[in-house]
Amino acid sequence: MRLLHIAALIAACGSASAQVTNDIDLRLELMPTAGTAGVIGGEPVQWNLWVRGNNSHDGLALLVVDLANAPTNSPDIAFAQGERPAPLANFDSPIGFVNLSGVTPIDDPTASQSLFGGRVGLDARKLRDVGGAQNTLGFTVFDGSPVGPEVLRGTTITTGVGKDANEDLYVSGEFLAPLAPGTYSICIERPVATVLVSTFGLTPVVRPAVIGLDQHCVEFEVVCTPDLDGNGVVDVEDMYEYYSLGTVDVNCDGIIDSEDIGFIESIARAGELEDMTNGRR
Amino acid sequence: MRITIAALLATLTGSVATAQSTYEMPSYDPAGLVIVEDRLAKPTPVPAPAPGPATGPAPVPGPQPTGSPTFVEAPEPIRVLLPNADGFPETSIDLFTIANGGAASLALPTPGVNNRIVLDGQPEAIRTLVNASGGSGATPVVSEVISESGSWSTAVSLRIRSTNGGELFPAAGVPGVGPSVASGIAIGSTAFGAPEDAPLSLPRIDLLREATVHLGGSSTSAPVTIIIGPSQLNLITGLTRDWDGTFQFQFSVVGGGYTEANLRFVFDIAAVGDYDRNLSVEPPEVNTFVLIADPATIVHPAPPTTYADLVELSDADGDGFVGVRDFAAIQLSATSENTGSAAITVIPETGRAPNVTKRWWRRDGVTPGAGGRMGGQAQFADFSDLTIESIAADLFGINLVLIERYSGSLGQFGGVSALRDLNNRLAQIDSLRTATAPELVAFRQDLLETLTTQARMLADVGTYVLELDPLRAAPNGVNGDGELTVLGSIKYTWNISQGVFEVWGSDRDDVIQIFDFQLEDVLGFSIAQGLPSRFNRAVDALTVVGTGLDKINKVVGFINLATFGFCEALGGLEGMYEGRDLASCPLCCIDDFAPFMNDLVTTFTPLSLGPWEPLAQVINVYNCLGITCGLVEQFPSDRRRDAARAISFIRSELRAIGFPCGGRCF
Repeated sequence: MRLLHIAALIAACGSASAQVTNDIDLRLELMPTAGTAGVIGGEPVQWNLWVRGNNSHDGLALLVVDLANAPTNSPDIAFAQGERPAPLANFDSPIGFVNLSGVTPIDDPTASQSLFGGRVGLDARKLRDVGGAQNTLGFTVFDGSPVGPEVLRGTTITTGVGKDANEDLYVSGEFLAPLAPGTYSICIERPVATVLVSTFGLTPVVRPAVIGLDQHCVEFEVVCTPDLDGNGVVDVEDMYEYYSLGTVDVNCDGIIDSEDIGFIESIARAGELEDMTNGRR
Repeated sequence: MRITIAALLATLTGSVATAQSTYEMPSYDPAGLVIVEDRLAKPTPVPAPAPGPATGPAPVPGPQPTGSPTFVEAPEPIRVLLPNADGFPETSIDLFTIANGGAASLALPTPGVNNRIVLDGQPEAIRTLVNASGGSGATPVVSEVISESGSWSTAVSLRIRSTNGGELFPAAGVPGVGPSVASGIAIGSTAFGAPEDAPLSLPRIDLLREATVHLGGSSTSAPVTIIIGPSQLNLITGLTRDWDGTFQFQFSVVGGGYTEANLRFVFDIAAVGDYDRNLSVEPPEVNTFVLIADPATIVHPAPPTTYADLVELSDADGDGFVGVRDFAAIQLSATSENTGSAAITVIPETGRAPNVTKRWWRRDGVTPGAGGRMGGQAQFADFSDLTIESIAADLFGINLVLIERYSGSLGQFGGVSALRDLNNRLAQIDSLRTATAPELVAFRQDLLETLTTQARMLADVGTYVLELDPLRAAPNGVNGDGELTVLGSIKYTWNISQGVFEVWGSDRDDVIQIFDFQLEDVLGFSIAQGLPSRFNRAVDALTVVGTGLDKINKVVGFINLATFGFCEALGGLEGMYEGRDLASCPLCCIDDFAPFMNDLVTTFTPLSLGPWEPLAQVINVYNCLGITCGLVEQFPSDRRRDAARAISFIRSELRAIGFPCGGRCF
């Protein structure tokens, strides 16, 4: 029932403006690699998720979102796990609560890895459950057993995250821009958050957060690509294609020169080991 | 029959009358089961003896132990006969308690190597030196008992067991310094101190269904933790505490596949709290837990159950995945402002949620199914079943076996490279399955043995075999909803179409995954099916052009050996290729092969497969360590473009499946 309430609030505020009237506002920032002429396909795109608040609470207790391709993306962007900023350790394993990778090992509970940065599906079209939660239960989940998940092992609470109008970086990551030129969008989906109301006493008081989104989706445009034959792979065939086409600004520097073919070759040979091919390239 | 120790000791020795415990003699159940109760009625601590070396004469042989002035007379033999699994009468009796520094000799009347003495005691700091091989005079010596301060909270009971049908005589004990030893009888305690707040250990007990733990004098508000382990098969369904500090818990077994004969529960029970450290365990109905078996025989273990998942997660948001989102419900429910709609009630005092079905928090979101088979796709078996024969059967019927240690400690054995090596060897074996040349057969056998050794080595440390369907091999596995990469750091970049592979593990909790693979046929062929098939096509092509069986075998051996960098293993194939000694140069194979490649190009030219593809098919099994662009120079000038494209193709494909190949050649 409570979650329904949260969902309703999210729905009501889903198209939020930049005003910090909500408990928290989220802003997704994309920073693609670009030359002077535009974004280059196949190059990294940095993303950051920022959070800010309206001083109506003491900061986040939990924040989880999904990142997803917009339906118009073609091809889709393949996500990879993001990274947690160091100050947010209490939102992560082992102190806080996050999804963990793998199956709980019987004899080595430390083997699993935190999925604070999200779960990547097989097709990597979505990055699910990005984020974590602080242990606001007032006790640790640890009974001395040698096995068990590496979560909720501490009770320390970090206050002030997303509390005021100063943006806090909640999570960041990187993906590769699609090779095919075009416009692509990344969207925030299914945000869920709780905020600290009081941290006095054994059990901090937590309530659902009203979430606002600076933008539901953030877009960028790929202008240049080394995948000249359009087969989704940068390889020697693109080099052949380059010579066939003659004049292509592959690296988006606004100039057609030898660096363009060099750019393709550097990608085609990215996996080579120097000591294997030295003198024989 | 209850005999007071003091009275019995007085009868036996006329000394050591300070013991105040009671010991209930074992009784014989007419139904044939032994009832052995190890019930010590809160022995009253006695002052610690001064530590010192054990003294006394040598153990007394024979069924009728004789005494000396320093011996204690043996009591009447206590016979408790129980047919054991081997059909021998097994005698088991709690014998005595030894205090600090004490030693005791036991008379085992029946000579034979099968006499075993099982010292069953706590604390584990006791170290035992047992001579149980002889028929008489076996001497267990408690060489160390931690003695600091305070008093023993639990008696140390020693259990002697004979598995050859011999009778056991609680024999003369040899006192150490102080009132330390009596034979055959549990005696009171002596100095044993544990720091405050350190776990108190109770005797390990084997039991079934229920147990009651008395924490004498403890405060009902004290935090208590009961550690149950190491079995992961028990399911704690309740934990209650009475006003007097008595804890009760029950456990049951869920799932299928076991019987009482193949389960063994071993509970290490400890408690931490402000008790008076006077604990005891009363295993009820001893005759209901005759449960002794090798844990390795356990199959299809229960769903995950036992560890301290003190917060139960459920799919509160209904998204089909149990995870961090659902934790929000628990956060809110733990807040006083939000009472009334909690998905779970959490008791801060113990951290346990009562009246809920504990479940393993599955981080992959997979809900265990019934029995050992998951969704009809995953199956589990004891890895110990793996034998050379079974490997051989599997390998030559199934192409690939991957071994992974689920816990991610692959690095212990070389990690990814070890897996890849193993994988490659298996693929290699498979590619050799149809070979008939004696040298190749021998080589195949050598690889098989190597594999077996490696597989077993991995198995010993808790690895699991992922047995891949030959048509569907895909190490980049995912679970049912496509969320989990099973092999973790293994970054194969290819997937195989139509993939479902079965997971084998000795514990379904460990590697329960369902691997449904999306269809991504990156390479256009599978590693399991493609390489051999392409290879065979190439061989067939050679056959078509009439190169003959001898040359085919040479090609087979050459390609496979060069492929996996096993040139050093070429001793058996020495001279196969035009008299060259390939065994002497691990990486020279390629260069040696270069002129032969030219032959192949020439050979394949008339075929309809295209000018360069057949060559690629033949050599695409090469380890790219040897596939260099320099090979292009080995070709006639008018063929170099084809050769370059062929080699580029090969390098690309090998790189796609994880080999550190270079890029394209020009």
